[in-house]
Amino acid sequence: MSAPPIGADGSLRARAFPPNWPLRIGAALFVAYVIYAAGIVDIRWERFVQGLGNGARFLGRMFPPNLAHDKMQLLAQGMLESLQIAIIATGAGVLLALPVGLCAARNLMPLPVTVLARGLIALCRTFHPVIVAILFVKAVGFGALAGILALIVATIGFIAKLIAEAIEEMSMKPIEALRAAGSPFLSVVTMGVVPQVLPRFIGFAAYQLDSNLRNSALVGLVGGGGIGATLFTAFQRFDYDFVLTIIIAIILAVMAGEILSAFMRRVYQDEAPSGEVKAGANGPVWHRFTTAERSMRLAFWAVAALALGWSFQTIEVIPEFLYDAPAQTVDLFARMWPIDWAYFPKTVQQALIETLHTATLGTILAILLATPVALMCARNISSSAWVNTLGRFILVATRSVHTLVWALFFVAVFGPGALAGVLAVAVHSIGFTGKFLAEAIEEAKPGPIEALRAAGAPRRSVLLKGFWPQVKPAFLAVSLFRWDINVRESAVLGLVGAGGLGVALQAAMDNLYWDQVGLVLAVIFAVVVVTEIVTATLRAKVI
Amino acid sequence: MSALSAAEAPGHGRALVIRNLVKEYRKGQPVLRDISLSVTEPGIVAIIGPSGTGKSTLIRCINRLVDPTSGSIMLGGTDLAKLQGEPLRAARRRLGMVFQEYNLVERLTVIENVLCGRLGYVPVWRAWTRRFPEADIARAFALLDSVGLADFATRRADQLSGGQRQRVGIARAVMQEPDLILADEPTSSLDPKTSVEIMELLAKVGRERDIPVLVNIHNVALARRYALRMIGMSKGVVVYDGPPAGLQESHLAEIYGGEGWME
Repeated sequence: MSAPPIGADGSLRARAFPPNWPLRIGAALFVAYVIYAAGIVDIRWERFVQGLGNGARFLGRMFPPNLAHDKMQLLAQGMLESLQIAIIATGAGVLLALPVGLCAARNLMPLPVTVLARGLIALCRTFHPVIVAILFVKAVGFGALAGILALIVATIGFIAKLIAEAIEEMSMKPIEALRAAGSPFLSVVTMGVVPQVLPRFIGFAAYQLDSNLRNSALVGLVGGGGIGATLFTAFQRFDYDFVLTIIIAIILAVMAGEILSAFMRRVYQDEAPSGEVKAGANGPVWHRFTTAERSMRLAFWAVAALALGWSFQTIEVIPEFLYDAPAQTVDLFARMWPIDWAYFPKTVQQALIETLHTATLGTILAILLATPVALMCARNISSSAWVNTLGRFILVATRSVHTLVWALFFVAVFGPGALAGVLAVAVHSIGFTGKFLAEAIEEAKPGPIEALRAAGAPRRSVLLKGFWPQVKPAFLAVSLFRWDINVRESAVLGLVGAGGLGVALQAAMDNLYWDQVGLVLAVIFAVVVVTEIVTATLRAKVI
Repeated sequence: MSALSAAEAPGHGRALVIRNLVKEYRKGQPVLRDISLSVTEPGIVAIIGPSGTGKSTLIRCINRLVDPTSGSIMLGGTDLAKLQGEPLRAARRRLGMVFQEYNLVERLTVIENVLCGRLGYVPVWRAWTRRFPEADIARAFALLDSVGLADFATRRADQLSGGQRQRVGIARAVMQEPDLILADEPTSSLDPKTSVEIMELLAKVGRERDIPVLVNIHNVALARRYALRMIGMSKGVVVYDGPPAGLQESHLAEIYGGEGWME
C-alpha cells in the first residue's frame, strides 16, 4: 500500500473535486431571489415582531376553547353538515369517476374517447375546490349543495385519474384471455378489469373520503355550507375561543378519518381473501371469503349505504335551486364572456406576480420547517418513540388545518397581504412535505449508513454523506410537487385577504364585474397549466 | 487510557481480546454463548460456520453495530463493550469494516466513498464542504491505485461491478488507518474468481499493514487457502481454533453437522 500517489496533481485529481460553479451561482441566485421576493411581499422584521405581539394576544383570546352549550350545538350542526357533504360528494363523485376513469384508460378505449375523458379530468383538476365552490354558490345559491357539487368535481378529477392509471398499469393477459374466449365488453370489464383494480380503487375512495372531509371544512368559507361556514362566521365575529374549538374539532375529525381510511385500506388491500371450502349437500363448496371476511365486507358496504342514505335524507338542499342550476351556470359563464383584458395590466398582473412569489417563498419556508420535523419522524434517525410521536403530531396538525384557515389566522396576526399568505402556505405544507421526506429517509438503504457509523463518522456527517445522497432525488421531487400544489393554493388565498390573484377575484366578484372574474379565472387556468408543464419537465430532469 | 492513545501505542493497539462474550437478541435465547478468543497476529483469521450461528453477530459486537449482552472486548487496553458516544466513535475509527453488500453510498463518487473512511477524523464542516485535507485526498488516490481502480475515481459508485465495489469498500476501510479489519462475508455476493481476488487483496492488506483481518466466510476451501488461522463456530460457541492444516473432516462435521454435504 505504499504505491506512489499517482494522480496527485494529475488531471483526474483535478476532476475529482472541481469547484462546483453551477451550485455556487445557483445558491447566490437563490439568496438574491429570496431577498428580492421577500421585499415584494413586504416581509420586514418590524412587521414580524409586531405580528408576534398580535399573535400572542390572539392566542390569548383563543384560550380556553369555548365549550358553551349553544356553541357546541352550532359546532355539532356544522360538523354534521360537513360530514354529510363529504359522504355525498365521495359517494356520488366516485360513482361518476368510475366511467370517466374507464373511458380515460388508453389500453381499453379508442383514442377519441380517452382524449375527451382526459380533458374532462384535467378540467376538474385545474381549479381549486374553493374556486369551483364559489362558482357553484353563484349558480345554486349558498348552502350545502354548492359545497357538494364542488367536492364532486374535485373527486372526479382525483379518482378518475387514479383509476385510469390503475387500469393502464394492470396486466393485459387476463383481458386477452377473456377476449379470446369471446366475452362481451362489459364481461371483460367485470371479470378482467374490476378484480385487478378494485383493491386500489377502494384505497383511493377511502383516501378521497378523508380528503373531502378536510375540504368540506373549506368550501364553507366561501358559502358552501358545513363547518367552514361556522368557522368563517366565528372569525368575522372575533369569537376566537370558538374558532379554537372548531379547529380542534376539525383536527380530531380528520384524524379519525385517517384512521378509518387506513383501516379500510388494510381490509381491502393488504389482506387477500383467504376463502374456504365447506362441506355442502352435494360435496364440498368453495366460498370466496371466509365467514369473518364476508361479514366484514357486508358490514362495510352496509355502513357505506346507510351513511349515504342518511346523508341524502337529512341534508338541507332546496330543490328549486337544484332545478335551475344548469341555466344559472350557463348564464354565469355567458356573463364572463368576453373577458375584460383591460383589467390585466391594472390589477391582475401585480396579483399574479404576488401569487407566484407567495407560492415559491412559502414552499422554501415549508421545506426549512419540514426538514427538522421529518428528521424527528424518521425512525432510522430518531430512535425515541416520544420524538417520533411529537413529529407525527406536528405533521397531522399542520396538514389538517387547511391553507385558507391558516391564512385567516395569519391575516388576523400580521394583517392582510402576502406575508400572511406565505406563512399560511408554509405552515400547511409542513405536513405534506414532512410526511414524504420522512418516508424517503426511512426508505434509505441501511447498509451505507451502517458503514459510515462503523467508520466512526459523527451524526451530522452520517446525515450528509450517508442519508443526503440517497434522499436528494426524493427531496427535490417532493419540493417541486409541493410548489405545484402551492401555486394553486396561493391563487385563492386572497379570498381571505392573504394577497395574490384571490384579491383580484374577490374584488371583481364584489363588484359583479363578471368579465373581470372571467379574466382572473383564465389567468389562474394558464398559470396552473404552465406550472404543471414546468414541474413535469424539471421532475424528468431531477429523477 | 483513552481509545486514541491506546491505538497510538505501536504493536499494542491491535491486540484484540474477547472474554465471555454473550449476545441475546431475545432474552434466554443467546446467539453467542460465552465466546472467548484473542487475536494478536497479523493476517487473515477466518471464521467459518453455518448460517445463523452468530458469526456476523460476533463481528458486529466488536465494532458495536450490535451491543453485546455481557462480556468484554478489549482492544489495546480499552473495553469496547463499555464505550458510548464520543469514545465509541473514536474507537470505531481504528476498526475498518468490509461488508457483504459493500455498503457504498451509491450516489457518491468512488473517491468520495473512499474518503468516507476519514469521516471519523475530519471535522464536520470539511465533510459538508467537501474540503478533505490534502493528505487524505492524496492517500485516497494512492489507495484506489493500489486496489486497481485509479481510473474509476470520478465514477459514481453505482456504475461499478460487484468486485469493483468491494475493492472500494476495502479501500474505504484501509483509509481509516485501522488496527484491525473486520470483514463480514466479503465474498458471498461475488463470483468464484472475484472472490479469490478479494481474499488476495484482504491478505495483502493484512500483510502490508501488519494488522489482523477477521473474515467471516462460508467458503471453507477459500478460507483454508488464505487464512493463517481458522475459527470454527457452531451454535454460538467456538468449536475449533487453530491453523488451517489442523482442521480435520471431523471438525467440519462438528461445525456444520452431518457429513453428507462433504461428498
